[in-house]
Formats: sequence, structure tokens, C-alpha cells
Amino acid sequence: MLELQVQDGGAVRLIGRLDAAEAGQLQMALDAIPGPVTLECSALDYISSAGISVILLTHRRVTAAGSTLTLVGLNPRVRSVFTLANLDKVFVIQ
Amino acid sequence: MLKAVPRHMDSLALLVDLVREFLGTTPGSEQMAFDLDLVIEELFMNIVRHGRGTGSVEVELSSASGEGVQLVLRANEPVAHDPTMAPEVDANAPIEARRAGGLGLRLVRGLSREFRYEWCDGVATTTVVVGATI
Repeated sequence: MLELQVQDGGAVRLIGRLDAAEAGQLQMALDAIPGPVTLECSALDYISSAGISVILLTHRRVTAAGSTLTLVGLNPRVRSVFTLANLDKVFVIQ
Repeated sequence: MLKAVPRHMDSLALLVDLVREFLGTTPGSEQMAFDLDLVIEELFMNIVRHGRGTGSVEVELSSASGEGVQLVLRANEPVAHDPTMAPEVDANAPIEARRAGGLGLRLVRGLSREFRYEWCDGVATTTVVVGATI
């Protein structure tokens, strides 16, 4: 189960599990944000390739428009998935 | 421990429950649960998205040597679709050129120490061993 808290200024707090069943929900929320986008992930417990794909597509869209996407507060396990995907050096992770 | 689940993404929650039931509350099992969840999701969704068969998918977990866990997925498939033969995603490509496809199998390969597939008489069997070094 994934809970999204959309805040002002393009900030989105992700809570729970971001799997294939929940990726569509995040895609819809992010599609409504022109950028910049900040994903606050300190309460994100799990992510799969479906979630990473949503973030990848959003990153591509906002950077093409001259804006940014930033990931904040990844726990070590979630961050390790980005590392396995070789995306930890590509995304801005704080 | 075996569970048969419908061939639909809504079954992911059932598979999370299966992993927790199998691992119990063993100390240190959180990392194994995370890795198993990821490998199972990627392989199961590969079947949901690319499989041509019908009916449920059997998912079986058992202990493997070296404190690992063996995962087996069995599904009726009229033709073979071997994920172990899928090309590697180019993880060094610039981000503009990255495709989402293939990323899941990269994660499976990165987390598993065995990854096998066989197709026989209309049944596809994918076997993966996850975790713990030998």
C-alpha cells in the first residue's frame, strides 16, 4: 500500500510500498506537477522497477523542461535498489 | 511453502504475505524479505505482462544451501519465454537513453546467485536462489 502526500512546491511524500500495483497512482500524481519535483522518501519502505520507471520518466520530463527532480531521505534498502539499477549517481539524491 | 495466486498485479499483496509467512520473525530476515519481495515481484510481473498462458501462478519458497532461499515460479505457458535470455539493459547509458524495460531483470540478476528457466509440456518454471553467500 502506498500513501502519497502532495505538498506545495512540487514536494511529494511517499509512504509505504511502491510496487507495480501502486506505480500508476504515483505516475498520475507526478504528471500533475510541472516541476521541480521533490520526492520525500524517508517513509518509503520498498520500491521495485515499476516505481523506478515512474521516477525515471518523470525525471526525463521535468529535466527536458529545464526543471529538476530530487530524491530525499531514502533508507538504505530503497537506496540499494537505485544502486543496483545504476541510477544512484544519475538522480539527485539527498 | 507454496501458494497459487491469480495472474494479476493485485496478487502482489498475497506474495508479500507469503514471504512474511515463510520467513517468520527470524532475526535479520528484514533484508531477505526485501530482496525476496523484489525478485518475486519482478518475475511475477514478467509473467503477468509477457506470459501468454492462463490460470494461476504457483510460487514456492524453500530453504537453500548457504542460508539462502530458493524461489520457484510455475505457470502454464503455451510457448517458452525465457527471462534468463533477455538482453542486459545498458545501465551505463545516459539517462535520456535509458529504457524502463529490462530494469526488473537487472535487479533479479543482481540479487540472485542462481537464475534458471525451463519450459516443458506447457509449463514454465523459473528458479532463483536469493541471498546469503556460500
